Amino acid sequence: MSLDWQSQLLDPIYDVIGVSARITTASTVKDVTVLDKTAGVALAAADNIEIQSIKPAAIVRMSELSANGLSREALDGAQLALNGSSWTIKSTQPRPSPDGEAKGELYLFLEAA
Amino acid sequence: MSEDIREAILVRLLAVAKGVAGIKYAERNAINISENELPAIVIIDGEEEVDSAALDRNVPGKIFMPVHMTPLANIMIAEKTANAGTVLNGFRVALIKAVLFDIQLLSIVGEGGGRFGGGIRYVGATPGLSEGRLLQGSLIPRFRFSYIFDPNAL
Repeated sequence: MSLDWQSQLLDPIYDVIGVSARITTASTVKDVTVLDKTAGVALAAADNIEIQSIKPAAIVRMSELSANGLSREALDGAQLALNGSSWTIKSTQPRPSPDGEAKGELYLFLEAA
Repeated sequence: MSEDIREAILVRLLAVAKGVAGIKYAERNAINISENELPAIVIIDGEEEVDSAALDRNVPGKIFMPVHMTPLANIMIAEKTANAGTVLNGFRVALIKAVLFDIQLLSIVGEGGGRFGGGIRYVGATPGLSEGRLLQGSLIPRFRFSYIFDPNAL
């Protein structure tokens, strides 16, 4: 029995814990659903000094990006409005599903805008 | 009267760090900093070594001898990636200038003052980067404070 990872695994997760976000690229504005993966983190500086901060990140389905006409390349430097904060997308990392990259997710690594 | 030149240097170095324009927080040996306290300078007391030439001469242990002390002044910022380097270098210049030309520090180590044999030198800097809400940047200028250590004055 084959499993449709998109509809049977990812979509139910995004339906429950996904949040609305707005991506603004150089040429377009699109509303998408993302998982907010921002997490608190202690960043190691020098000499055992730690800076208490957060590591902001979000995940979006590749299928939703495609449906909105957004490529991975277009996201570099784009703005993401998420849960009341504005971020700049600094880099992205694919998280393929067993069905491949196009049916997987994309990590968005963020920096305060 | 007892004196501890090492402690006097560190107390004054912290005061100098606090006086650098734009620095929000400065402390000695603080190992946990909140990002909202940045830009910050944390002074790590650091090492000191008796001058190797004095040791090589096998001088008696209770006479005065040169000591070289190397505290670390960690400059830490949170900035947008594109600005981080420029901001760090700005604080670097301000701190180095403030330390090398601080009359009180120069007096404590004895460079051109009442004591003798001392001096303050800038000997280099170590950079560091890590990701956070904004890019966390650090630069650690290293200073060498040379002073005359006199066990009889402790």
